[in-house]
Amino acid sequence: MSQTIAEKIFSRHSNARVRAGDFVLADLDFYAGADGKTARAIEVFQDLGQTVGHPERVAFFNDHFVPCTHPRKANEHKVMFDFAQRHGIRIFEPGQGVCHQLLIENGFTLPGRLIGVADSHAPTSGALNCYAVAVGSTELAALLATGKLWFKVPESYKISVDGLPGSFITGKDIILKVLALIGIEGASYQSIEFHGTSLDHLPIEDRISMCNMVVDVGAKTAIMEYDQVVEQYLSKAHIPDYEPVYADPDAAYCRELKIDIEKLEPQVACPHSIDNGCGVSELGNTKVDKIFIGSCTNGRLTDLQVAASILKGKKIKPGTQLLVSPASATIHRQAIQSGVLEILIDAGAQILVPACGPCAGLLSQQGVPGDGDVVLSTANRNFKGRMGNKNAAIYLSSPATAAASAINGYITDPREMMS
Amino acid sequence: MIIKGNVHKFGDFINTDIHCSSKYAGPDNTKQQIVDSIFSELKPGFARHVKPGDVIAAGESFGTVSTREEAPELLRTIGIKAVLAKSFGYLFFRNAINLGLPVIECDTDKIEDGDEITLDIENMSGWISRSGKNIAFKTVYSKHIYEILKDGGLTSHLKKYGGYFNVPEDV
Repeated sequence: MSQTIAEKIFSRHSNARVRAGDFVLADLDFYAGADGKTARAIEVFQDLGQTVGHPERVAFFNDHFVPCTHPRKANEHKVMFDFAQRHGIRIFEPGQGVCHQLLIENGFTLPGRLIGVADSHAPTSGALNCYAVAVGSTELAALLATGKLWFKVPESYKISVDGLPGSFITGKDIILKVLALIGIEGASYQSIEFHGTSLDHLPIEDRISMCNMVVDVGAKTAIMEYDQVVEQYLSKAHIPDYEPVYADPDAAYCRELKIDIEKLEPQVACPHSIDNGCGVSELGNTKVDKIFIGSCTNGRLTDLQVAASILKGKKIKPGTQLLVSPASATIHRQAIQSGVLEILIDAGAQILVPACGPCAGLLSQQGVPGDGDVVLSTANRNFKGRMGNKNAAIYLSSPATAAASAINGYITDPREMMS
Repeated sequence: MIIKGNVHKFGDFINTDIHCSSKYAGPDNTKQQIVDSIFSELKPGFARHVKPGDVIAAGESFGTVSTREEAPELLRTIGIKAVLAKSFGYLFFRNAINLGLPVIECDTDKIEDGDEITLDIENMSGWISRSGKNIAFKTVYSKHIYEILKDGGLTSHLKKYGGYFNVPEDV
């Protein structure tokens, strides 16, 4: 029986041979909670009256409400900390970074693993051949108590991306194009498998951005195959053994999409939907008031580096603000040591704590736009009010596009910055 | 588990975050006001017309892009005992099962508003009284899912057994 990656993952983790549509009770290798959902999960868990069976399989993260602006959320942070201490659970305290980045940096995300994350952008980990699914508060409680959760094995959608990416064309530009082609709910309840020769030319950070963004087209998750790029990334740290998972050549997919990105220009998602995409050249003169570089989508060192390479020796346009949030404390430190942060500060950027920050301004109350503001963000959602003001408009783009736009004060093709 | 009641028919892409939760309600809205407002934009006075045992039948993507656990809970509160649809938003689907509300994929085109319907959840079949027609279910629950639904949801199930129900292995 030929199987997709989803079918193999759920078969492996339920000791059965399953196909799309089957229900399974699966053992998860790891489960994590971010501060949006964990306090509620703890409440439900305490009502269950059971013990935490495998604390070594758990981690808590503080990222959505950091630094905290709500007393209620500050109280929830304390609840999370106390519970973690009592049960021997690893907790990443405020300032350490965004959960999906930390899962990857700390070796919790591994090839062939099935992990559950109480935050919607769980699929981010798919770039490392790790099957990561978003779970709710009740489900995280169930995992803390039992280590198992039920699933309906999803059908798989095979997306092949071919062609050599041009200058400044990144995983973010590719995924924005894919989302525009698929549409909201275009991958509803499906597991996306990314294949194709373009991936060979993308560093791990770009692949991470691609998997991160499948959430809002309704996909259950995204996953990529294991290759030398993944192996090299993991070999740098002391990583336990892992067993990658590969799709069978004649696996059955419910849908297939092939796209060629040879001629792709830098992309943006226009207000107010992530599938409202177009090339930067189609925009005309779009003035921007606030720009955000960061988030689990694009807050990595390579993102900050490309921004710094564009902003070096330049200043942000007066009247335009640039906010930068490294996705983790490690990235923040690397940005300091490599001189990247100094370049960004000299250009006039506001440097934020490693956290979700302005991406979820609706929740975090940071970097909130004014009425009529146009925001350009490297994050992953642009629905009305996402960043804290329904009277603002949000465009999404790559960090290169964001940095170029910061200099001009309007949305700019980063290739124009090549001298 | 047998469910018998009347059908309330809906169209495609019903967003339960908008129509069936407090997500966009004002801070002063009471629980009763939220209950009264369930689907009121689509079917005025909906909550008052539901009798215990009634069922929703909808088109594509019922619960589209909807994340709130509250929605299945509110539906159960007013007496809805199952939702049939051509397809579901996946978070709504998961939340429904976790909250003990059976969600079943099937072709709902031949099911009409007001039809009397019977569903046999254990045997995954159903029929419409008016026509005697069988409804073919695409969803086939495993034993675990059936037990979770029978127990009224994931937390009740886990409390009852101190874990998941132990499914006897097939010999």
